[in-house]
Order: sequence, then C-alpha cells, then structure tokens
Amino acid sequence: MIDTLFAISLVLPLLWLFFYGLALVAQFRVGEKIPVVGLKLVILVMFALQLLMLIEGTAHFSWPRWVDVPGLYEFPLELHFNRAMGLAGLGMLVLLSVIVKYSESYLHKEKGFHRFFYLLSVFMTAFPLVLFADNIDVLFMGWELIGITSVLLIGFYEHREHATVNSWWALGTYRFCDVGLLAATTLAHYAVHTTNITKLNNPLQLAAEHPEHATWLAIVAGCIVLASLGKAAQWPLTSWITRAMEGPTPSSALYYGALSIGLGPILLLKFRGLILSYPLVQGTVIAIGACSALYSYLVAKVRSDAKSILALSAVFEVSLMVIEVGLGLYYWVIFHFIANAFLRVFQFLRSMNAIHDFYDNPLFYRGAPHRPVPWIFRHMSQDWQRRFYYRAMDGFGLDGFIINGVVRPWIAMWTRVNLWENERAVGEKREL
Amino acid sequence: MGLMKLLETLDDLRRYLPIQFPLGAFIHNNMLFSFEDRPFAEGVAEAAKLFGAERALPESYYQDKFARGRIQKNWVERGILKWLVQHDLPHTSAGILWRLMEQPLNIPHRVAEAAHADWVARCSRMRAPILPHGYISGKEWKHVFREQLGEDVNGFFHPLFIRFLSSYLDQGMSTWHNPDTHRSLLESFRAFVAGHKHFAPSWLKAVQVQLADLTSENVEAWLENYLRHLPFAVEPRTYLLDTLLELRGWAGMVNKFEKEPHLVPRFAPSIRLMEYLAIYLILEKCQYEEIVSHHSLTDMRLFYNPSPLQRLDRGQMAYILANIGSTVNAETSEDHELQAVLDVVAKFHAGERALLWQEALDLSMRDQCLESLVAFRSQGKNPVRPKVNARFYFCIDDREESIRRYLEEAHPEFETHGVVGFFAIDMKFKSFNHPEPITQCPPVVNPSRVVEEITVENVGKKKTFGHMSWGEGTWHVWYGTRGALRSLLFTLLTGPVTSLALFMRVFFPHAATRLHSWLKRTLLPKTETRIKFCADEASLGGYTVPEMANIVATILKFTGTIKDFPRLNYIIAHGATSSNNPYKNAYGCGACSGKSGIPNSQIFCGMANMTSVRDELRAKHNIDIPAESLFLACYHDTSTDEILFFNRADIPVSAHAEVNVGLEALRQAGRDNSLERCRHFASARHIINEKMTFQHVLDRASNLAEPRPEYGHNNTAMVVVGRRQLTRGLYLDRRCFLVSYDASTDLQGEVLTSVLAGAVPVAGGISLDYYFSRIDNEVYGSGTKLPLNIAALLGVMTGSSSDLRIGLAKQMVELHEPVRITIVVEAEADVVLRLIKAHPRMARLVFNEWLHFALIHPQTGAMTLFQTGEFVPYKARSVELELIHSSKRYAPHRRGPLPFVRVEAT
Repeated sequence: MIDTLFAISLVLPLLWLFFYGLALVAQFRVGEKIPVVGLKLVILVMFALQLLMLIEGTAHFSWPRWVDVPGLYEFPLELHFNRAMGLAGLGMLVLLSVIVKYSESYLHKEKGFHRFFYLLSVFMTAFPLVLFADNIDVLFMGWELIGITSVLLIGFYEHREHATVNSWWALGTYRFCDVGLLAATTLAHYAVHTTNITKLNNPLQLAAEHPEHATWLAIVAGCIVLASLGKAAQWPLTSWITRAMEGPTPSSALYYGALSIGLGPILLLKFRGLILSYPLVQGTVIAIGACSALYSYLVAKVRSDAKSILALSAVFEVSLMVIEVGLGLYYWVIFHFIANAFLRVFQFLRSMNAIHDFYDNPLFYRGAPHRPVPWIFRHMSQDWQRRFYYRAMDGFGLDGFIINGVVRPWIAMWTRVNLWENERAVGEKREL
Repeated sequence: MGLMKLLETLDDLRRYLPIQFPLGAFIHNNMLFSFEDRPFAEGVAEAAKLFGAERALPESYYQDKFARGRIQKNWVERGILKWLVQHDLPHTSAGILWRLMEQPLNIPHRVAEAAHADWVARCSRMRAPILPHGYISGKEWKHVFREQLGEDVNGFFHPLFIRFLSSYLDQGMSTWHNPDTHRSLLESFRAFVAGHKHFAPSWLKAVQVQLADLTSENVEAWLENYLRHLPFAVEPRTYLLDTLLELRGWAGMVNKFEKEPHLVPRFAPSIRLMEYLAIYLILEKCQYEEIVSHHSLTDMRLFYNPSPLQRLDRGQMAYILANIGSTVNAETSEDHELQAVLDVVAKFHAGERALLWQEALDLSMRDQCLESLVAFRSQGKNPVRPKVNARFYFCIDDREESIRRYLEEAHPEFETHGVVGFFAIDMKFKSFNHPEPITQCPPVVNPSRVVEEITVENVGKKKTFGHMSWGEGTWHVWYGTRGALRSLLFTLLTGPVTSLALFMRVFFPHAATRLHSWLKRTLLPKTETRIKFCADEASLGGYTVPEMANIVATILKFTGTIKDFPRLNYIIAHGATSSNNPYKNAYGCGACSGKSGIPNSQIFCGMANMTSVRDELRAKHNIDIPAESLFLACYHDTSTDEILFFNRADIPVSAHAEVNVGLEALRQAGRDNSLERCRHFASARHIINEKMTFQHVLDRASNLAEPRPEYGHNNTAMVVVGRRQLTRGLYLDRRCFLVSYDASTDLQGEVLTSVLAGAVPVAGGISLDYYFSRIDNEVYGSGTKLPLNIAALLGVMTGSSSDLRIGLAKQMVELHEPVRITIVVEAEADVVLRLIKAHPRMARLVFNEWLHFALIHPQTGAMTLFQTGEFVPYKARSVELELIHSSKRYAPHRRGPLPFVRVEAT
C-alpha cells in the first residue's frame, strides 16, 4: 500500500509535466492561473503522500527490468524512501509552494511566464528522484534535469547577453562535474555490476564479493565527491555562483539560496557509507568543505550587492554541511539543510527591501553599523588586511584562472583541430 | 587639447550622464534633462542616437491603440503627409504608406524567410570591405572584436571594476567595510592593484606599470597626454563621451558623489570623475593588449559594414519583393535602380512608422484633454449645490483626482482643492528617530530650514526595547546571517522561525505586516512627539509668526479660498506603502521629494490653527479665519487607500462628531477609490465590491511578491491649473493633475508664478520620466524588475555585475500611454507668457514643446494653444461627452484608458 502511494507521489508530477507540456506545445490558450493552480494541487497531494510515508518510515519502488537487453544487461529502476530524505523532500515541497505563490504575482505578465513554471515543474519532478534514488542511474536523471533547469533559469532573459554568458558558466561547471557522476556510474557497473546505492554504501561487503575490483570502489567514491562540487559551488568551482544571479529572484532563491546548492551535501549524504569507508576520500571531503567555507566567507564579506552576498552565504552554509557529512553526521545535516533553505529563501525573496531596511533604521545615520575587519585578520598588518580584502574582491582570481587557464586553452585546442580538419578537407577536395 | 579645454570638455560631458540620485532619495526627473534646450523631436532624436535608444514603441502597440480608438485617424493622415513633404516625395505615395501604417505585414513566415535569403544574397553584392586601422579604438573597434573574435573586451574587466567601484561607494551593504574609503579613488585602486602582487594575471601587472606615476594631482595632465596620443583618428571629446557611456549608470553615480555629496545617505568618499575615467581607460587599454596578444591579427577576417538595406526586417523585405519586385528585375537591374524604386518603402521603415504613430498618439491625447474641457464647459451644467460646509485640500497629484471625485459625488456640500503637497513649507524635516533631516519640499525648491520633531515624554509602561536597540538588533541579524561565523548559529536558530515568517509574508501579506507593526508597537516604547515649527521656541529652524502667516496665506490664495471659511478644513497629505520595492520613493508625494507629506500637513494645520497666525493673517493679508474654523491634518495612502487623522488631540471635543462625518466621508471615498483602482489589476478581476477591493489593495501594498504595489502615475496626461468648476463633474480617469488657482483673485499673476513654478516642473518631470522609461525601457528605464539586485545601497543592477540601472522599471510603467503632458492654465495669455519667459526651466520645457501648453481665458473660456512661440486659438472639434450616473458605475468594470465623460451625480 505505502509503496503504491510512493509510486503515485513520483508519477504524479510526471503526469502534470506531460499534460502541461502538451498544452503548451499544442499552443492551447493556457492562462496564468492554470500552472499556478495545477502546481499547487500537485504539491499538496505530494505533501500529503510524503507525510504519510514519513509516518510509515520507509517505502520502496522498483522496476527491476526497466532496461533489459536480453542476455546482456538489465538496469533496474529503484527508489527508496527513508525518513531523512523524506524530511528534505517535505522541506522542498513547502518551499516550492511558497515560490509558486510568490511567482504567481511576481512573474505576472512577464514574457516567459510559462517557461518559468514549466521549469519549476521539472524541478519538482526531478528533486524527489535525486532524494529517493536508490541507484545512480535514476539519480543521474534527476541530477541532470535539475542542472538543465538551473542553466535555463539563469539564462531566462535570453535577450540579455550577460544572462546567456553566465548561464554557460553554470553549464560548463555542471558538465565538468557530471563527468564525475557518469564515471562513477560506469565504474560501478564495471567493477561491482551494480549501481545500487544501498549496496554501494556497504563497500566492505561489495569488495568481498568482487575482490579483484576492490580499489575501484574508492575511485567511485572520489568521483561522487567530484560530482557534488559543481552544484554546491564548492571550491575551486565557486565563482560561477555569483554569476548565476541573472534569473528572476524566486528562481535564484530556490536554486542558489536553498535547494539546488544543497544537493551537493545531499549527494554526499546518500553515499555516506561509501565515502566514510575511505579515510582519504573522507579527508578530501572535509578539506574541500573547509576550503569552500573559508573562501565563501571571505568573498561574501567584501561583496556589496545583495544577491551575491546571499548566494555566497548560502555556499558558506553548504560548505559547513559538507564538512558535517565528512564528520559522519546524518540527521544534523538534513536539519541544517532545511534551516538554511528557509532562511535564505526568505532573505532572497525580500532582498529588494535592502535600501529601505537600511534607510529606515534610526542607526543608519549615526555612523552605525560598525563593520570591522573580520577577526581572523585582526592581528595582521593593515597591508596584509588590504591584500586579503582586494584579493577576495577579485574572488582570489578563480574566474581569471578558469578563463585563461582552462577555457582559452580548451578553445584554442579545438580551433586548431578545426583548422587542421578544414585544411585536410580542402586538400581532399582538391585531390578529388 | 589643452588642460583647461579638457576640464571644460569633461564638465560639458557630465550633462550626458544620468541625473539619477541614489535610489533612497529617488525623485522623478526628465531622463533627457540635458536635451531640453532643443526642440522635443530633435532632442529625443539626438539622445536616441547617443544612447542607442528607440524613439517610439513597436508599431504593433500603436496599431492596437488605433483599433481601440485611442488614436485619431486624422493625426495619422497628417503625419503621413508631413513625412512625405519632409522627404521630398510625391503625395501620391500616401496611399501605400497608409497601408503600411495600418496593416501589419501579414506575410507568411516561410515567404518572409525566402525573401530574406534572396535579399541577403542580393545585398552581398553591395558590401564594401572596411579594414580596421590602429589597434585600439572606441565603439567600432569594440564591435570588430565582438563580431570577429567573440571577445567582449569591456565585458572582461567590467565585473571586477564594478565590484571595486561598488565596494568603494558602498553605504553599508558589505560586512567588511572597504579600508580605503578615506583615500581617493585612484589611491584605493592603487592599493587594489598592489594587493595583487603575487599570482596576478599579466594584464593586472600591466595596469600596475601604467599606474606607477599617476597621482590624483597629475591625473588631468595624464589624461590630456593620453588623449593626445590616441593611436587612431577620433575626436577626444567623442572618445571621452563613449568611455563615460560604457557604464553610464556608475559614471553618473560617481558624478553625483562628486557634485552633490549631500545626496549621499551616509558617507561620500571624495571621488572624482576624472579619476574614474583614468582608471577605466587604463583597465581598458591593458585588457585590449592582453586580448590582442591572445589572437594573431590574421584571425580577423574582413569586417563588413552592413548596408542600410540589410537592416530592413524580414516582413518589409518580403513586402517590397511582393509589391515591387515584379516591376524591376532583380537579376538584371543595377543596384542603384533597385534602390531608387525601393526608396520610398525602405525609407518608411518600421522605426519611422512607429515614430509617426507615436506623434499621432500624443496629439490625439492632447486633443482628448482639450476637447473634453471645452465640451464640458459648454455641456456641463452648473448644478446648484448646497452651502459649502467643509473644504478638503488635497495634493495636486493625479492619483488624488479620483478620491476627490468620489468625495464630491457623494457629498455635493463638500469642496475640494488641489495644492502642491508640501503646503508651501520649504523645510527639511528631522523626525525623532531619524536623525538625518529629510527634504520635504519639491526638488525645485531649496529648503530654507530644518524643522525638528521632539519627544514630549514617555508615556505608558516602561518597555525594555528602545528604538535604537531595535535598530541594533536588525543590524545584528542582517550582518550575522551573511557569511560570518555567527551565520551558522543564526541559521540553525532562525531557520525554523523564518519558515513561519516566510509563510506569513507570502500567503497573508497584510496580516504579516500588521503583526510586524503590532510587535513593534508593543515592544518599542511609545513616544509622544511634537513638531517644533515655531521659531521663537527653537534655537534652530522653525518659522516666525509672519512667515507662518505667509505660508498659510499662500496656500489659501493659491486656491482662492480666502473668505467664507467653513468650520472644517481638511489638509490631506499623501504617501504610499510598498514592500520589497527599491523604488518606494517613486510612489510617494512628488512635491515632498518622494516622501510622504505627513509632517507638512501636520505643520500646516498647526500653523493655521494658531491664534497669533490668524491675527497676523487678518492684519497683513486681509484673510479673516473665524475662531471656530479648524484645520485638520489627514493623510491618504495612495497604495492602500487608508485615511489617517493626526491632530485629534488639538481640536475641541465638541467638534469631534462633526469632524468624524468628514473623515467617514473620506474613508468611504477611499474605499470607492480602491474599487476604481482595481480595474487595472489583473489579480483583482474576480473582485466585485469595494470591501474586497479594499482588502485587495491592502494586501497588494504589503506583498513581498508584488512588483506593482500600485500603478503610480501611469497614464498621466494632463495638468489643469484653474478653478475646480472647470473639472468638477468631469471624469478624468486619474490622468490629471488638478491645481487649484483662481485668476479672479490674482490680477497681477503673482500667485500664478509660484503655482506654475511648483506644479509644472514636478508634473513635467513625472510625465517625462514615465514617457522615456516607457518608450525604451532598457535604455531609459531599468528593465524588468524581477532580476534586479541592489548594489551598495545606492541603486540596482540587473544580475550581479551590470551597469547601475536608471529610470523606472518595466512593471512600473507598462500601463502608461506615452504622451507628453498637456498643461491647461486658466489665465490670460500675456500674463502667462511673461511668467514663462522669466522662469528658465519652464521656458525651455514650453518653448521647445516638451509639453503641450494651453490656456483657458478666465472670462470668455476661449482656449488657446501654445504653438511655435505663441498662443494661437485652439480649434476644438465638437465632441459629445457621454453622461454617466456616477463614477462608481462607470469605471470599475472597464479596462484600459477611458474617454473622459460627464458625471451626473455631482
């Protein structure tokens, strides 16, 4: 019974996605009310179902022969509900309902109203897939869908060049990190013939079953860590996050204040058993979290625009969550995830109030607020303080490094290959 | 270019920078203020060329308006004929032009595609290669880089530069304050570059070399030298202007900081535009060199200059091909032949057509305004009204037109007047918990003194929290939750609580606001305050008795209400409520520099109720206010339509009942007003009665998610300066500023001078701000509100590192019909003409036709219109004004701008 409900809660958003998409593609006159009411209803039903499952505690959904190449291979479709992820799922639904209500009036009459709500629907469908996936193949689907909606929402204002360019930054980062997830899937299939997350979380047993491929599992763990970096904007892939502030405020709030960015630690949490089994990987996770925390802390301190500060503060919290995962905490991370999500969404949604918040504060004109040098620099010479201040303003040169150290050589290489190919093609033509 | 010349040039170029203030001190202004010395069309054209802006909306907008009867056909026809004459073309072409105007080109997409391909193929024969010369340049070169190399040179260093500038100008947004604000911009920048000693990109090292011998003292000389050695032929002035306009929002803000530091809310570092320019140029140069080093010049292919014909849109091409292609054989004929045949149609491209439409819309609206007034005078009856038993003085604001109408419709015995909403009190106001004095008069008036609000005594039970602690706590949460280590604690503690707040604010906005203010009320000590406006008791500021009498007399003379005082005189200030809205001041009272007019109405009533002032009025101004007459300070919130009443404590108890009748009438008018206002709100469509609309506007004003808390001055189109008889009973659709003025009491025109000097620039500024923000929202406005991001507490950016946006957001102006405002004054021509000439700004606006100016003769009612330097009789077509029973039945269920009609009820 509970398993059926679980299946319904997963399929329902998919159905909504299908019919809403159909209506849009068929160019029916879809008013602004339809997506709003539809989404609210779906969210309500999903909320009720997930609440039931939360009380029940656990639920499964599996389709063993989802992809079945007879005699060669089969991919199962497995999803598993547990309390911790269920809590995160409930948090997501509540936030989504707030965002839908907010966007209803916020995006009224905006060009791309339906595009926005369609992307939100995709997000709503994909998020539970990531949370409840019990094998990497399913997780990958949800992961990719969220990535693509994120990119499309950053580039929401397609007529603005800035928006498009900055959405490429997100896209590039995501694709780079997807290599990790894809590699993890492939390696797991190759080494242990399963991508089941529950099984992977028990690497000792798996290693015992496949002793010849035991070391591969450590590499799978490493790949998972790589995969989690991009979405969570962990160091050294942090700089795209402030570029992502190009979309409408509610989407920035949902993705970069709260949920999409929180998926990094959630992913690590899902592979907790695997990661914690390898001290090197565990150490890497903690180190990355610490680096990102320090980085985002410093950069957020010197920024002076509302949304960048909020996004970087969210990265700071997420970095702490990453550290917490590394330290082996479990429910605590979920709580932190939810608390951060609510706070940041609220701050993002009312970020346009900043000017009047400050101007109406009686202290504003009396020299307050006192904004001192952060305590870690207080004992340094002024010269060094300045140096840190200005380097942080530049994001410690991460952007420049990515452009000049990675993107340019990459493009130059392919340009050269292209030229070479063209020359060959011309030569062949001549011969003909 | 000598040093002096450079300084002069720079000072001259400043006027092309946006004149926008920091958003906290926003006031409406003509975006093209510096072009006002030219005729309207010319100024707009020049600005459009300079800023790359449009001069009109897309054609489809006007075609729609035409279909709805908002544009008169005869103005379109006249426009076409005028256009033909201008372009030296025969009148016979008028037919085809009219067809182009009226009919959208309904050419199937596929045909248009084919035509386009064909066209491009043909045009390619006409291309001429243009080779770049030199290695660094202004606009064109940047274009080459972008088109040919895909490198946006300025785009590379802009984010860094913007972050640097924003942190230097920051008023309190960042948690770690910029350590160099006490130094000059150049020194701060030097520190910035010096901070990058190790692991710096090569171009920053080049910047360091460039900066080596540059100081604040020799920056002028450096710039002069730089401009002398530009490696390509361009006029230094053009080059400087292009550079300034690259980030004109930020450059404008720097200019404001330098020239008007008193506008800056907290601290203005001593910044100079010259240094800004020097830094920008250095960054640009080094970045260019860096990028050039990445590419060999052979990468650059020939750069083609697109011919004008290539710029035609697809529909036009297809149209031309379909209509004319047959007569000229495209394959055999020469290009110049083809060009000649197509000339007429090609010249009459979408831009020209839209411009013509725009002019027709503008003139049609002018006619609607003037003709309605003329018709109303002849058709409107002057009903016998009961004796006046209360007077209501509102602000001239167009948003107060409707509430005045409702008040009069329900109560024929009431009389309403419109005065400039600062009530002639030219002060800065220092409220008790806001230590910085705030300007409470129009931007054209110089505040003469500071008036202070003081606390009388603390009453009620003692409370632990004070206003300061409340403010302190707000800071702690603000900075604590942003990226500090405290953040973790705050997140874990406040996360669950904020979920509740978030839910409340989004789902029940008004209830949340009420809860918030209730919390503040109960937690904060209740303070009884008094405004110290009399000079004798204050050391600073304050007015003497003769001055106060003067102020009261001014307002009473403006409105011509100098005798027959009723018992109750309501002075109604106005302001607006909105949430999550950086443009809050754009909705406030324009006459109080975007603030609410509450202190002004309180002070005015305080003055008018003083016995000594009344004695003075009687003695010096011959105005006899009877002792039992009361002046009552009220406030109308234009967003929520709530009415507040302030000085109940000052009035005798015996008058309370009577006062309440008037207040109740005002409140009812406010509710009726909300019903009328809701007709433009899509989310209020289902609402049918005023109770629901009232709740709707309350929610709307405190809704975080609402980018349109009210629709402000949308559709503003007219100013009527004259007696209320001219318009009482005329439904003006909230489009008209109503300024009371009685010419019969002002034969010399002294009062008129101050009336016009206050009203015309304010109304003109508002209407032109809306006009240009509507016409090209990306260039003159700040684009859509949704991705905006507050920078340095000074302005808004789109995304995280864009130019500082100027003007009004799209959501604020989207309902606006872009027309120049029509000013109608009931006075004699020679008086007005003399007066306009004496006032330079007004003279510029009127003589260059940035607004329409018409007169109604006070005795004969004949209308004259200002055209080409003089007032000529206006030939109004006779229109029949529809007679409606009451506004309440007419307006609420209709959408869009409505024709002006007569209302029977008043």
